[in-house]
Amino acid sequence: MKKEDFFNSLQDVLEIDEDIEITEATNFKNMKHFELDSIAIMTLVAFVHEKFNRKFTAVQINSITTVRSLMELIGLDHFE
Amino acid sequence: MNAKIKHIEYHLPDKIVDNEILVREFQEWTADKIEKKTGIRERHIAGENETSLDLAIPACNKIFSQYDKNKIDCLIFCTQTPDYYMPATACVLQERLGLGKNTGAFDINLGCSGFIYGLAIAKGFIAAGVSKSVLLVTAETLSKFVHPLDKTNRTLFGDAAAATIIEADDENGIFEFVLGTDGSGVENLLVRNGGMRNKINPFPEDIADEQGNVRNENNIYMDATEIFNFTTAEVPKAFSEILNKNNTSIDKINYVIFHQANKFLNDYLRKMLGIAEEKYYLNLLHTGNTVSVTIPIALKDSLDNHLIKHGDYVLLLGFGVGYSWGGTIIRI
Repeated sequence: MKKEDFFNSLQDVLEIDEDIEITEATNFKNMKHFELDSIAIMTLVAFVHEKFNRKFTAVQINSITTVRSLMELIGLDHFE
Repeated sequence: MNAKIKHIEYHLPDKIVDNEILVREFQEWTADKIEKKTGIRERHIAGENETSLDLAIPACNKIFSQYDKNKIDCLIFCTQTPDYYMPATACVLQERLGLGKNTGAFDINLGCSGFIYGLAIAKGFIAAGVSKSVLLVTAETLSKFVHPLDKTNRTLFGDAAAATIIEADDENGIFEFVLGTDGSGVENLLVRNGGMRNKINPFPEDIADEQGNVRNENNIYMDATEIFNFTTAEVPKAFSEILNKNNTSIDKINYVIFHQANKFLNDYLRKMLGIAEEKYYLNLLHTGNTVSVTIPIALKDSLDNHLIKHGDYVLLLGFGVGYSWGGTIIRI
């Protein structure tokens, strides 16, 4: 998946404010009007399962900080 | 002898906690967001002294307004929130309902798969000639295990009870079952304290998780990520096995009712399995996740709203705590 498409999809499924630019450095835990709460985590887990057929453990989910850290969990070879 | 579901009724406690109330306590969410993601607008919560037995009695009495209770010769009570450690709540309920002393009565301790297991037992008892009329009660007051500051579980779970009559019949109304268990999931959905392994701690330590949900070991704990992983792995397999075991296909099934966990998960499962939206029940709006009561509530509402009718084939599938799952096909 192209990184740009991944960033756009994340913004869309997690309903992150459009005025926030998503990059690899974007930190989920330090974002205006957004919280990686249980609803967002469920959404994220389903999104990754659907798009990458990849499942996370709760420990892995809790280790996510930046978008880059999420991409590393999914596997950087999935992105171009 | 064949078995068939003849009546279903349910009862909800009077107290309602709607999303507006939750948002006042957990201000980072909005009522609309909760409803959009979970499909839940409100949930009924048992009063402080209101038990699973208390919820079951009105559900059963609704049945008795249209069914002779003297015909009942077996009472199965499914709950994970019994009134006592002993005796079984079914024994207490037999007396409270005025059922005959020739009624077999026992509890089963299962969560979201419990209604399916109850149907399987009822069918087996009828087929073996043990019983002719089984009253299956599923009743839960899971809210009593939820910490007041556990926003995730307070949002999802509601309390309820349902009563179902399964009766011997010339026509087959309950077909083949698929049952399954994976006890490796114990740690991902449990109430750790309160049984003989770990007694209730009178001074438990409250701990907040990464998402800010507060709970202690006397409370329900659910690892939503692992539950998602379990569900998306096992439900599709069980769904296919139910169809295969009954030598049928989804085209011949009129309607599908899964345990109602939350809108997001149930919708995801529907899409995974390619089930048409119009033949898939998805409604937690006024009840939330009521554990073993979601499937009978869905059946009753589907009948009342003419989503299913006499002669229809309905696939049922429950899954959850244990892990435990079970499914079958019924004919209305």
